[in-house]
Amino acid sequence: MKKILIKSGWALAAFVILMSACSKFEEINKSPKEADASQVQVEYFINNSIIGAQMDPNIAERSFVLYWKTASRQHLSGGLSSGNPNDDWSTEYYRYSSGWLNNINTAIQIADEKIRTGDIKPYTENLKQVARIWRAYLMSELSDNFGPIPINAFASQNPDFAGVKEVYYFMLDELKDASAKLNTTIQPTEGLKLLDPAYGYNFAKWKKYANSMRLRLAMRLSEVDGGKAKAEFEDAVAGDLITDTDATFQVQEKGGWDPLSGVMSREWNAQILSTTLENIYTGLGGVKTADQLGAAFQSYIRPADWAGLQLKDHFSSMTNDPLAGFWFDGLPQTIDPRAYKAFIPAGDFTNPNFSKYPSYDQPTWETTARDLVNEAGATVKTLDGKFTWNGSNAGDWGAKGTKNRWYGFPGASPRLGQQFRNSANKRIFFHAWETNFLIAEAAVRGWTVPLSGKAAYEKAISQSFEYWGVSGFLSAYLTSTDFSITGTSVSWDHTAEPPATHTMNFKDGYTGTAGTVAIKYPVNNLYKNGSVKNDLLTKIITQKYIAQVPWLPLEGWNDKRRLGLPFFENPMIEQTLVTLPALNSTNYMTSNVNFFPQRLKYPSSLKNTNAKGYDQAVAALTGGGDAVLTPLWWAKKP
Amino acid sequence: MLLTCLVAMCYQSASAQEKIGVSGSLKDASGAPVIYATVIEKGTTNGATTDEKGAFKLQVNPGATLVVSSIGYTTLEVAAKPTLNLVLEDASKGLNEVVVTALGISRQKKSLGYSMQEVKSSTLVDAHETNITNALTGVVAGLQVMRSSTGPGGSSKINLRGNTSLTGKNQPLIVVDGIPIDNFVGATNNDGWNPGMDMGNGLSDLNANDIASMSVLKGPAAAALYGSRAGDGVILITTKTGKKSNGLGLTVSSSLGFESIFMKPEMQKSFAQGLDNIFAPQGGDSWGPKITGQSLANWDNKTEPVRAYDNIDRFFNTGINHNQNISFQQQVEKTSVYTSLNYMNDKSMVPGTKYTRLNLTTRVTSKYGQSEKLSTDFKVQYSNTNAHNRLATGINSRNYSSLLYTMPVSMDVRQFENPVNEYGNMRWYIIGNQVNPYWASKYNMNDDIRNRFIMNGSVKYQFNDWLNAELKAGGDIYNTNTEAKLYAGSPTPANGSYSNDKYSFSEVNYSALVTARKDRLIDRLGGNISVGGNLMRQQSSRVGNSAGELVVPNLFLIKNAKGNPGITDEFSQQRINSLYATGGLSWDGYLFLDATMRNDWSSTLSPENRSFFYPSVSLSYLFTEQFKSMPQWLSYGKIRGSYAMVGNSLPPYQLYNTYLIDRDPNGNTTAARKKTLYDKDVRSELIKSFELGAELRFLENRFGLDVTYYKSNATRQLIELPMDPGSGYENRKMNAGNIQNSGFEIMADAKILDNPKKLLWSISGNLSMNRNLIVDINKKDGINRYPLGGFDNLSIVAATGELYGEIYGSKVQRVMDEKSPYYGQWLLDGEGRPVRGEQNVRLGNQQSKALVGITNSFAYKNFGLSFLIDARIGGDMFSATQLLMQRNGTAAITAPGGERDGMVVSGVVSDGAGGYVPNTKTITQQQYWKAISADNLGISELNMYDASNIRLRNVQLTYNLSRKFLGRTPVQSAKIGVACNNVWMISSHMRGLDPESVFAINTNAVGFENGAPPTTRTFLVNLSVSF
Repeated sequence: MKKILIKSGWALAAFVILMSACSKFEEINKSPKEADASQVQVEYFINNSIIGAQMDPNIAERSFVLYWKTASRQHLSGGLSSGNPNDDWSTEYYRYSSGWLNNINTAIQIADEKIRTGDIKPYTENLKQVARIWRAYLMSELSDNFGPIPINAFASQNPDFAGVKEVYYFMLDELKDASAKLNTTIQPTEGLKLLDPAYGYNFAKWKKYANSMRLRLAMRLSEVDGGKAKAEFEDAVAGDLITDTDATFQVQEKGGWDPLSGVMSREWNAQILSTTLENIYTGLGGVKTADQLGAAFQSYIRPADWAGLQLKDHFSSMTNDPLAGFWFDGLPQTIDPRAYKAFIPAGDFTNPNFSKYPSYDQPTWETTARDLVNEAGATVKTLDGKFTWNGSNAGDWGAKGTKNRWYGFPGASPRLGQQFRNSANKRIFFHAWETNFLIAEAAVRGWTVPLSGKAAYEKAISQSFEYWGVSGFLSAYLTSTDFSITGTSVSWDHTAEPPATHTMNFKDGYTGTAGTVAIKYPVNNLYKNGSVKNDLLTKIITQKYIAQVPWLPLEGWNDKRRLGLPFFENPMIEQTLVTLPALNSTNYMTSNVNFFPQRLKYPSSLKNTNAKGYDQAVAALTGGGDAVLTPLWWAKKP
Repeated sequence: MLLTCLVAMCYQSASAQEKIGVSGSLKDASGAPVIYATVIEKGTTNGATTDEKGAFKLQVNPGATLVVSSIGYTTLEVAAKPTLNLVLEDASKGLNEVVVTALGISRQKKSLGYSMQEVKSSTLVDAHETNITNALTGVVAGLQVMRSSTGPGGSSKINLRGNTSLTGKNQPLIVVDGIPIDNFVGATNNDGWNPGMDMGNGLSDLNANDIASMSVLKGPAAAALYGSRAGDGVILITTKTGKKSNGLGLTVSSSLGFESIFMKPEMQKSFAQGLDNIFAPQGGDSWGPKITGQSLANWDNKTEPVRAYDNIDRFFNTGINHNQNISFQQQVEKTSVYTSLNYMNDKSMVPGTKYTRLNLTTRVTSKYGQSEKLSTDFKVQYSNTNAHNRLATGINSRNYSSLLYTMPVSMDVRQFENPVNEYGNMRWYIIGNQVNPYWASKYNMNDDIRNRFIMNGSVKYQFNDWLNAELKAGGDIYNTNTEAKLYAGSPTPANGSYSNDKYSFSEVNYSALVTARKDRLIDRLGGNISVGGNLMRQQSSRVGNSAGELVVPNLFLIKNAKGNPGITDEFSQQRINSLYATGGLSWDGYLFLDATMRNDWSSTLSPENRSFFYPSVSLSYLFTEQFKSMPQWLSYGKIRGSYAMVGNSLPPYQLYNTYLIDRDPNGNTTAARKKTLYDKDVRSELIKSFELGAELRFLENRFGLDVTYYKSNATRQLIELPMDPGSGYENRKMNAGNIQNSGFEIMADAKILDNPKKLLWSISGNLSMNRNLIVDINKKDGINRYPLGGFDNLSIVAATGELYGEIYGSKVQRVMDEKSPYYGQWLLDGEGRPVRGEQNVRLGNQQSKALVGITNSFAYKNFGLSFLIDARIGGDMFSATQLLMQRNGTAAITAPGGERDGMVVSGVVSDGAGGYVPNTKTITQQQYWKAISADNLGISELNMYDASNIRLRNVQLTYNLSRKFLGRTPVQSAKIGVACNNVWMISSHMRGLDPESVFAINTNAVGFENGAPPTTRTFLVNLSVSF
């Protein structure tokens, strides 16, 4: 008995001692699946940042397609174009963008750390400069959406927000300094090249990108800080630039569901031609449809003075679109040759770029004829969209929209070509044409640039034509003095203003009665109070806008906010839009800063996560606070 | 050292002189053993205490008289004989309940200084819930069960006395026969579009039939011995051991249940698909023309009569659930065996969804040798759960309900029952990314299989009548294999997708416990002490692959991924070593003082902070035992109080900031920071609590009342405070916060009719009221708000100075000028529509004010009837379902009385000169409801609902076949019964939605509902036969 007790006692005591032994705890609590600071490399973070910014379908659909393409009117879409952003989308974009910025800032921090400790490779210093250049782009993207953003950030504490001016000054300084510090004689190793999906660490190209980015950002200040804009621009334009297609900043897309999936690949996004683009393309450059399209299309071509079918009960006229209320029952006489490449008319099934999306719903892309009905649901007219050229405008269409089954139906309208949707293209971030358009604009402003305005303008257009494979039309196009529906022509030397109106023929869509109508060239009050439609700047921005479709919608929105160019029609207001309260039945024929979105509201979570930063941001957003209609510092003001 | 002393002490006291041996057993009038009763040789100090089986042994002088006493019983004197089987009469009936407390120590309930409640096996079995967790609804004061809406096999969450943590799951620790098991709950992510699957909660794997009793240790004092994992209370489950049976010991029971829709949101039935009163066959709205028997061309261009369909009823089937249980128990000599097999098959009312569970259990307890000093107890519980096509939450193709609630009233969902067209693509009426629910039920498949073993083995040595030691080891080991297959033909991805995942979890515990107990230490002073230790080893790993999009359609192979497959490779381990002790002193059977202490060493904290100590102290005072001259009507009275500190440790790998290495779609390396910023100096959480209570019984025990007041403060919480992602992190781990829970729990019972020859009627009820206050989040850093969940502009937060779970959202624009005669009225827009005004303002709180459960039981001859009514009083909920139904025109309220008359919204409009004039503009119903539901979640104040509800939770009717009838058969007993769950919603306020529909079960934001499936009613027939 005694023995048992003593033995048990000792056994238990031993158990106790065993238990308090915690010697292995440190080892146990080190995750075997994570890397420490000594195991990570600068290029891993740069690669992650650039790849991430290509946007997986979750964020690409929300930001690239539903925000930027909508705000820049590259397709038919309500929401932001009607002043109505979505908090969830904004939250996601802010989170994703911060993730890309986080990675690139970590790259810079790790590079600094490695340089400090001497743990370097020949290219370490250059990687840091690359990271700074890419960070400048990412910051500009974020700031152009929201406005004030943090400058000193990603330092493990909630950052302070800085005003847009400070942010731009910072980015311009960074680009200048990083560009200067890049050593272009260093050659990347084969292994390193793989970790830069844009340039494969061709440092000379990174230098060009830095300088061209500086042109873009400097020009952004043209309306509010002209002196700074000029100085920065002139300094940057003297350096190496992305002037030819070889140095285009672009990243190859890939299939699957990941950041390299095509940004416009979601099959249910119809990406129908917008009224804005229809008005800009149609008639511009004088190139005949007959020369652009094959035999099957010829019978659909309409005369140059044809307005189409007037269908007042089914098409709202509550907008300043010059052809509101009309439906175009064919193809225009002349049109910008890039139009039919970008947007494929309904029913053109044999065109390899015709988008057979949604692939799971054949009737949706195959059905071209749609009904207009009356209140009782009975068909009053069938509109066959096959080989017709109609853009669509969002807004509130009221009952007219409900009775109009053509409106918004993918199969019956021109839609974005499949080559941009199949995840096999290259997403362009900066193309040579943009450099040349920027130089052309600078020339018009009288800044010192290496090319004449005309030369830069025509070079840019030629690079765009090359991209679209329509160079055969270039010479005729460049000399064309034809006015588009917006009243702008191509020829640099042709700056005569169009008349106030032009007479067009039409037919009443219901009765077939023919008539004529004086169609106005739209008055764009945002630019020179609506008095000018065909000056050099309008031409440049019009061409730049067309060239940037569909890869750089954010730049399209930026130019619109900065200059008021090109002309955007107001959304329909059969009922006033809750989100654009200033736009009403008395003023819808005018253009106004309050009639289109100026920025995104910050995600609602920011107030909670960084109250101080949010307050700083709101304070920096003078003239309206954290609202979608508050213009950014560099933008046109009401 | 302590142990060594103890061991030495036992040796000294163990020498007694040889006399004659007496052994016996002690039972009460009901046949239950009386434990820890004192048996003393009269006139001496020689005595013994009965053990947990009521047995005792002692040596006495020949001819001695034994005095047998125990609190609550009339003292008995008998002549000593070698074998004695004694029965003690209750001094005051029913007060000698023996309950299982922390570490499995059986105690008399009256000696406890804290509140705990035991749930009997029959309560759990008779509820016939697929998930045993749900059987706790309404039966335990202070315990709230929150059900998920993810169909059979979905999780239910238990909340005891409010939420103590901002980030944690606020779930009690589940201990089965002394071994903690993993009570995971809900899905691992609740993304609105792409949520994870809810694989059930840990408790749902158990078979209710195997459980002998369940003890709910609510307060930290009760749970303090479990230390750092018991911050939210403990549920102790004791499984059955074999009992001697006159027959074979075989019991077969079987139940068959039918599941149907209990509640669904109210829908209008008079207006067809369309907008602006115009039929639109490819639109998603129900704002079309009035249904008058007209015929129109549908989405497929076929002309057909327009009529209304109830698509909820048409889509869901009647679910069939059957459960077969065979158990065998017997005691042979000194070994008792319990073994059971249970098979449950739930073919849900959701088309294509199925859940099965197989449980096998064996438990063997043995005593060895003549002296029976050595005993062993071994048990293995195996479960295999198999779920096919679980539902998901949120706006997602695997949540059919959201789509069915909003699809046009005149669209018959059954026409899509054949979901595939001639090209193999999905058929559906609308363009976009919607998925035909029939298609999803056949071609968007998920399967998960979990194999789980819960095992324990223990060896116990009873040194003498007052000292024993026990060594125990046990584990909870499971593997979950998941597979998801999405076929080609739906909006995305075109060729389908595939993923598989294996998750393995194991937790092993080794423990030792030495217990000494003497009821008469010195004079009337009794004492007990237990000292023990525990080693916990937990390990989990996950390996998963996913092909987000396939190249060859419908070839479910990871290599067939377009681009790089996603790879999950996770591993986690942690250890906690513990030492603990509990000691108690009692005085004369009416005063009990207990203290516990525990020290944990956790591997997940830094060396400086890894050791932490939790004490508790409790006192129980039975004043009716001390003063015998109490009034006659008061049969029993006790007051109790306790104070305790417990807390939580940290999950592994959350001290040091490291980097994640991954591959980009090109196969090249990427690196990233983690999302949470860690701080190596964080400490364990600390919950301090006290409680006071009283237990009173009246009129010879016919009426009883138990009242508890408690207050706990959870401080130093390990929270992940959200950061601006511009900091480099989305969250930061820190110790902060002070969450206070205080409240009352009242339990009452009454035997209204207690004549055993006639009708018996008893009522038991409980009421709990908890106030969950956020005292602080992190004032010193200026952080006073912590998001718990929500979506878009609707947020559910914890905010300093407010109650847990405040709901914030938007309000209608109102006249804010206090001088205006129209102050506070709705300020409408130019068209006369309501407009969203103030945002991010408080709209309500998700916490209930009180929970009530009342069970009535009747027995008459062989019939038994019982029913439970439970009520949740107070608390608000935002319903996104109602909002979507209003926007789409399917909600009944969009067509009041079956009509859609124009309306003039009460309010004012601007007069254009800074003033206001009353609104006179008429708008359509469509304009009104579209205006209030615009922009994601609309004007959220208009879809806030009172979540109070009262329901008849279940009714059970049983009939025991009489002995007479069974007389000559081998059948020992037989029982048939019918039962129904969710019988009748007596009162609720959510326009047909059940307030128990919760969007995200594993978040703490339960005041938000979004597209939850209709709740279900189950009607069951059951039969149980014992041989």
